[in-house]
Amino acid sequence: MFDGIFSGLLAGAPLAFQPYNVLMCFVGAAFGMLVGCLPGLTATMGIALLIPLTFGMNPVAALMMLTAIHAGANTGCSISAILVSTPGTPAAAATTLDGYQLALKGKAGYAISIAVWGGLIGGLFSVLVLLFMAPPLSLISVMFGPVEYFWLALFGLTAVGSLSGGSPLKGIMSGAIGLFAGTIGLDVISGNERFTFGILGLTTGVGFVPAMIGLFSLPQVMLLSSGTASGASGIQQIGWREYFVGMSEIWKLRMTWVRSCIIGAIIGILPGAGGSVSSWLSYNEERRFSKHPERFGTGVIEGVAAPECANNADTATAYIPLITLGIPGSSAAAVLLGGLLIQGLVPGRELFTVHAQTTYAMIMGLFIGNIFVFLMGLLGSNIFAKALQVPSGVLAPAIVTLCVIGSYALENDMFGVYVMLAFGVIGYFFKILGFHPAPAMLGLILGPMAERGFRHALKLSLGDPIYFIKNPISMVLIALVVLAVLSPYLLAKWQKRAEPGGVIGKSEE
Amino acid sequence: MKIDRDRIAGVILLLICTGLFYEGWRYPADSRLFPLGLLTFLMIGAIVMIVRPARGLKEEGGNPKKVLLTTLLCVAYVALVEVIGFFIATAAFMLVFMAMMRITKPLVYVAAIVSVNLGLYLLFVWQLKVPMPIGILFE
Repeated sequence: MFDGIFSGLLAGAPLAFQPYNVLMCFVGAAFGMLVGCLPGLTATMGIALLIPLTFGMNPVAALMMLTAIHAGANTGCSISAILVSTPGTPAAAATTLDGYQLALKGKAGYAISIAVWGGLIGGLFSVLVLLFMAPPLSLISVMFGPVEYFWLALFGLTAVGSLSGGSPLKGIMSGAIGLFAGTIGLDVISGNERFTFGILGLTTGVGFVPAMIGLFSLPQVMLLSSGTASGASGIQQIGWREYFVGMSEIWKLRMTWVRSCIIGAIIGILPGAGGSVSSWLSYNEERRFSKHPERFGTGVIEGVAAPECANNADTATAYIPLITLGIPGSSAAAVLLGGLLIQGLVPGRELFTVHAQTTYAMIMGLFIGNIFVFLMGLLGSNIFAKALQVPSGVLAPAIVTLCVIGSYALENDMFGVYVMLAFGVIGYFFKILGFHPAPAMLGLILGPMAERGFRHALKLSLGDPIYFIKNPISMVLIALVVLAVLSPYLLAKWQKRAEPGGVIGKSEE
Repeated sequence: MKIDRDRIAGVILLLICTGLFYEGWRYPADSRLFPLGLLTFLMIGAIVMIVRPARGLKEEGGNPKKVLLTTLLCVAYVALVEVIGFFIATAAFMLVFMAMMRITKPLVYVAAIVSVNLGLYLLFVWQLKVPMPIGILFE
């Protein structure tokens, strides 16, 4: 097994190190840090916004850039969390507790460097887990038939629906809405037009990229526009000297790293849970294991190290179910699924056989991306901190223009822009009603697969309902579906042990 | 509080689903199974929302007036793109938006509009060679 991985890496490395691809990785990392650093912009949004750009790129460059955005955002978010007590993305919410306190004591640089180191350690650990777990796991996908794909899609949706924060019912309803939107257009199997209401553009269905851009970005813009126009003030100046944290400091925190890496990696693999679940869980666990739990919240460095390590540790492992089975482990991974499909890369065994070179190049790219983010975080935090001063009054319209041009550029057709607008409005109502957008988007992407699986299975079963559950894989998946629906309650119980009355909070961005 | 957001939303959702259900019923049997199944689930969910609305939704909705204004602005922007072309529409849109957000310094306006337009031009037109809509007015 290992020689497959090793030879894969050898094959992928030359691709990954091509100058253009490395450049795109760098661009992605920088953009990701920027997006992560600015409150109101999320990693998922950043990836969605740049997907139109990847259209013309080669697959490796595209994936390296998009995954680097994710890695960058997970570290960039700590900058604003520490400096202005506002998490750049929900994943940094736990970091604000102790991070900001440290900043108030003049130790902002120290906190940021530990956060960046934690990000590197967590990120690299995550990639290693991906590297060793994904190839063997991909073998399973060959055993999947139509029925299994149907249950798999259902599992993905229930998991994402239940764990994305908020009411599980609404999460699954959101998924159902997405699934329904996926049925709009020409029904491939029967040739029947569904729910197009005579609109020509809808015949090919709702394009998921403009829908994604609209669903995730426009509501944020609407919220941004409701805020104040001025940029964040009172930002601490970060001195150079404080950046160079000694290795002994890093070594002192080793148990923190170990705990957070494991928590982050496991949460990452779970479809649906991501970002802030891992950071809160690791923060709570860190507090439990600490000799002085009461000091947490006053500026304890473990309170920064743990969440930052964990939220980077869940990035790459979220790609494991994504590339092996097509089920994303987080919101950002879900958007990445769109990016993969655009490049013609279908999740599953194929990624490790036919497209092995591309896949391993992407994994190498994950290493490279993490290193870029690390370097930028250590050396360039000042620059990103300056970005916090850009008024939201400038940021908001800029994002809208990017959304518009991005949705247009995909097919050089204004219809994409209309779809984007429509989903932006839907996304806004989702936000105020407590529906999470990620399940809807997942439903949109997985809808065709789920329906195809269902209808093929229906035909193959010849009317026998047992056909749907008799396969062992089906049974496992059904059990997972049930588990997914129950998981919010289980997770809440786990959290209660650490902190009575604690809530999962918003899990995903 | 009898009238909750959830309740209103539930009712609207129920109505929309019923309408779509009615539309979908006309389709051939195998084609309508999946969507109608989904609609049924959504309708049940909507009824749950009506019967047991979520209490005290903490979801920030921002300022409704501002949000409406922003939405209308975006719609106007998109419509404008088709009339006077992307870049001019972008400049106009950003101008109005920033004014709405109470940006005062003219330098900020100029810097923002120029950098956004330039950046998008370089990225999409020069690099990706996307043909941008020029607008009916100029064609």
